Amino acid sequence: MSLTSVDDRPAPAPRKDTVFVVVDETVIRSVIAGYLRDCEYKVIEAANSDEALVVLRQPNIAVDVLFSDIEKAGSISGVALAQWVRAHRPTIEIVLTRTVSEAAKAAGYLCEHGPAMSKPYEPEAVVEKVRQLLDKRRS
Amino acid sequence: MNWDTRPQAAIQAAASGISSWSTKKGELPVLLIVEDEILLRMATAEQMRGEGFVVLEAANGDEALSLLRSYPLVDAVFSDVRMPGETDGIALAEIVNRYYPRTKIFLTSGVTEPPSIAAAFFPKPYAPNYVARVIKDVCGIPTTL
Repeated sequence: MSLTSVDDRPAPAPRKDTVFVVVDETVIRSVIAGYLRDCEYKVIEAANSDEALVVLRQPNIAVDVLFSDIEKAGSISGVALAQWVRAHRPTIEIVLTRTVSEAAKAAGYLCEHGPAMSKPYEPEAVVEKVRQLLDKRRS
Repeated sequence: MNWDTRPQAAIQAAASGISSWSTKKGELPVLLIVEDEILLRMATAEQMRGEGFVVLEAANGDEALSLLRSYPLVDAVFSDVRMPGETDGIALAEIVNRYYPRTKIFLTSGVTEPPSIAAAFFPKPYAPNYVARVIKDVCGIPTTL
């Protein structure tokens, strides 16, 4: 039996409906959340880990995927938030990203495996949109 | 009534994908919700999406300004008055009135009624469907989207 080829993509996520986007940079969060909504996910947004914990501590708020910045945002980092989720909400899938392009790529991947089973547009367009919006803000 | 009174350049910018979420949503009104209480913001945002708005969420006034600078085509801002950070709801309303004249500002508070700088004020707790109706009415947005 041959080994399967090396694939650097994350393991396929089951088709799930609610993505919780925790990103402190407002413009990036809005674009990623908007993209995931275009993919027919229900999307919840939090600006930092403190807000995220308020939501995650509510057992009646269903979350299927936590989509978080890996860096510090709020009083704990994305990594610490992920550890909390593993311990307290173990059914939630965790996606941690470091850069805008990683986030866009991960969002594109979620879309392919999400409710719509397709991407509304390529993840590169997400990165480009973030760049244009940030440029506009600085100008 | 036609609510889309955007300047031609803005419409073109939206059509090019710079300012709208996506071309298919380019025709929907954009509402920016500014609220530091996450559970309230989440619930209101969800209801407003159900009302047909494209909803942007900001956790405080400073985040709201950051979004407005990037998305000047926001039709309406619905903001809490008391929030942490440098920009409270009153300061945000003044900035919106001065620099974003096509954007209507709506305020809410459980504590104080602000000076009359907003298109409408809603004491907390508010009924989101009522808020949606008033915002649509003031902005000339069709009731059913």
